[in-house]
Amino acid sequence: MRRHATKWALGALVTGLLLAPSHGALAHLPNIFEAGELLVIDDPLRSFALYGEFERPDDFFEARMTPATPLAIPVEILVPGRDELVDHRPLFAIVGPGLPVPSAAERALLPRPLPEGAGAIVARYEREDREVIFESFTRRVFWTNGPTAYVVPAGEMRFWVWSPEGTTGKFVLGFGVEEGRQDPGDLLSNWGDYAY
Amino acid sequence: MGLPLSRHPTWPLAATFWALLCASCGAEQGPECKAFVSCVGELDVLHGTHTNVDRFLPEGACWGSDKGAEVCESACRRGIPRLREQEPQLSCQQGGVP
Repeated sequence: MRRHATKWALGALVTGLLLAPSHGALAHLPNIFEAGELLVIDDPLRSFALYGEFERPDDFFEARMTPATPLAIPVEILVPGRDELVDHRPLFAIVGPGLPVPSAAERALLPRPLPEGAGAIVARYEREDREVIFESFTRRVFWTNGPTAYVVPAGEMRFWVWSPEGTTGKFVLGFGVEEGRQDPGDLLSNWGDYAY
Repeated sequence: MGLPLSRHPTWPLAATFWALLCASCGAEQGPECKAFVSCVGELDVLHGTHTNVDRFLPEGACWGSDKGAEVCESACRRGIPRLREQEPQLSCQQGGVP
């Protein structure tokens, strides 16, 4: 009887270990974001981290996704927590048909005119001192503007990223949450692009 | 007939181990996201749409880890006022402390 119980206990332990979540593997799917090139997000239901760098003050980054139905998605913009980037506050806007007409102040912030028939949601920094987060995949500290759940309509949506003050430096545009075991892609072979 | 736990010390050990594992198995849907999902539901009624909020639902991906849950709750808290800006007819409220 006792041997039987021990077998069950060992079975439970092994099953537990197999089913236990491996938090080290939880991550956004990383990708390099190049200025001046349209980055297409094939599956808007997955979580992404787009790593870019403003080398020039007027660099402009653009990504496109085409959700099949309206979609609620958390988005945030992060900046490496380094002294030289303390004033680096890039912004993003979601641009597309069905989004609200931006206020005059928001429109003045946009880096280019809105396409015909498009509205926009312009991100904000919730706190002047910015929230600090620890990103567990690259194990680095970042400032964030604050993750915000946005509702985007179905159809073609563009994400614009620019630097309103003309500051340069790295940033990450994060979509979704660290929510599942995702292929880290070529993160390790391009570590210098992702980490800092 | 069940096994008396005291006569089988492996059982409490296994139970403890299992409990420790499940403590890191995930989180529950938080009040901010519950309110956010409800708010999006209100938006859908107004617009005749069906928004994908799967990630934020009780069984959604948001609640797979404590860190993910924290990010989602934070995102939902900020999301509700943005949603009201998008659609001023919405009457939904924040889920937690205003």
